[in-house]
Amino acid sequence: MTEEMVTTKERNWLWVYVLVISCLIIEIVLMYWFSSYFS
Amino acid sequence: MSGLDWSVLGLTLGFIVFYGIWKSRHTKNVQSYLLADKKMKWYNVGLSVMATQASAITFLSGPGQGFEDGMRFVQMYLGLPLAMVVLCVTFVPIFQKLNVFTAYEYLEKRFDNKTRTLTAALFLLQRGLSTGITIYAPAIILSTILGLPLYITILINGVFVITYTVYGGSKAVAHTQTFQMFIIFGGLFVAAYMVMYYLPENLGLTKALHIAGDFGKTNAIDLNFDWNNKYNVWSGIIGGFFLQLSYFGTDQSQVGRYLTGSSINQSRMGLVMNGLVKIPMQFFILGLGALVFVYYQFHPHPLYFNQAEVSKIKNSQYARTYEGMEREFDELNRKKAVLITEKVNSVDGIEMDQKLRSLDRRTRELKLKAREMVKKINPDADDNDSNYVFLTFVTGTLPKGIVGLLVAVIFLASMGSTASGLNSLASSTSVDFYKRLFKKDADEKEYLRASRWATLAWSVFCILVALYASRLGNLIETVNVLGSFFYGTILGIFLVAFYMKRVEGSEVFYAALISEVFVVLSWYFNLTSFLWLNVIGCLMVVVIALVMHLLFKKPTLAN
Repeated sequence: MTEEMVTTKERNWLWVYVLVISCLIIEIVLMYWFSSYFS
Repeated sequence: MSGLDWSVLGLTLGFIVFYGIWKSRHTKNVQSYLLADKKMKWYNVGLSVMATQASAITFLSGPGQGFEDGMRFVQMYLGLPLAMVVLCVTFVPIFQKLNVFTAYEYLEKRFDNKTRTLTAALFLLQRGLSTGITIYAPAIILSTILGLPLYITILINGVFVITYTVYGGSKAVAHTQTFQMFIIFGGLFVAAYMVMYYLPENLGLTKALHIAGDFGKTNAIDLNFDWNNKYNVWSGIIGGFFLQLSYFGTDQSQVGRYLTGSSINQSRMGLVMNGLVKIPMQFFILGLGALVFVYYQFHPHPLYFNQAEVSKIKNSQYARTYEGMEREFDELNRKKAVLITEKVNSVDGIEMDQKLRSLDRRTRELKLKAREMVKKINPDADDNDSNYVFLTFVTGTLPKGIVGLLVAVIFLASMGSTASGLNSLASSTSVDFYKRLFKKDADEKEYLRASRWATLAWSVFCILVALYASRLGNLIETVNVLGSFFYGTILGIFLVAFYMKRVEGSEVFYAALISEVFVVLSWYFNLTSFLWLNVIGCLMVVVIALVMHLLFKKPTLAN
């Protein structure tokens, strides 16, 4: 594997990590809405 | 339980054992036995990691917590996705590229043998005891609910899990855990459907959640920072991050799971899956408890769920007082049910009024009194009554067959985490001690045999811990505290290894020893709550190792 391919692969993983953190933020927002709406 | 339930339970457990043995029938060498040939796909890795963390207590105590304390416990897991990202970036590539069997093997490559041996020994001590408790904790609840002697429930769990773990090692563990998680998810969905089914006809999910909310059970998120509040967003993200990073990054029972991935990417994807699924899963389990709470607002339920302790009260001098309390409790619940039904049917919707609030306050006072009574009769009694709520609901309400399935879910969850514990103990014993210190040049067959014997020996040890746990008093809390003693220090050692390339073995070794002594003293003199010991231990190792490096660094040739 060339260095360029390795860098591209790692960059793709970066997007996966952004997705994980975005999901965490969405989960917190949804659960906050859930807490306020039902209490 | 009925004959049908016992058949469902027996068939499910029997099938798991058969499936584990069948899937691992080609295990011929130690790589296969300890790392499942490194051929696992991401979904095997992800489900295996989840099954290892989710012990039976997750499925017993989770709904119980939702019932008693609401859903705020979910915040404990908010740091988990962040920990998964750090693991994917740092831990996974290093472990996979070096092709190690255990996380501690890496420490010898990076530092020296004494640091590896110290860390592996700390792990064996902590994991050996906690795997015993993983067997014991659900066994005592199952024995009370099913009316079986404690040693029988311990042995059912132990013997089933030993059979496939000793024979098939990591491969059997990973494949059975994948299957177990499917049955567990299925069982939980069935349970949620059944709770909804048994609620009053005019009560939909939204109204049910409003009732739960009025009693403070939908408190999933608390944005206020408070040192004294165990569960809020900030303690969940910061404290939870450290806790999950230590657990997933340095505990061989988890490292051993993602090392079975066929490549770095497969291991990473498995961990990402865990990061995405864990919080919704925990939210669902706690929500199930909140719905069980709503169900019990319309149906009679015991003042104290642990019937073993109730029968002790009824054979003591408190019997008449307790029966009086039970009568008052039933009466209060009847009045509450009438008021809640009126509220549900009213046009204004559901909101707690003063009368309902005072009835609820009184029922909580009675529950507290009952708990104090239990403690008076038996100071060592398990006063965490909420652990018995879910199984009481399952066995007392659900139809035949479903009860067997859900009891099987509890056993499977226990077997999954126990199997990972035993496999990791065997890996560390055979790789970090037997191979490194006793027989360096033996052949593959010899190491495979040693690993199988190690699994069997640790199985016996953990079952003995489980059998004697009840006689050792507050052992469960002790094990939790012990975990906090070691996790922070071990994480500190790994963080120095990964991020402080110039620090050497002796520096981190002595930093770990000093930190460990300080952590134990902090606990002994009650300086802080034991959850913070993880953070203290970790930071101390990093700082002391760095200071020692700066003070005692050897002069280079250029100097």
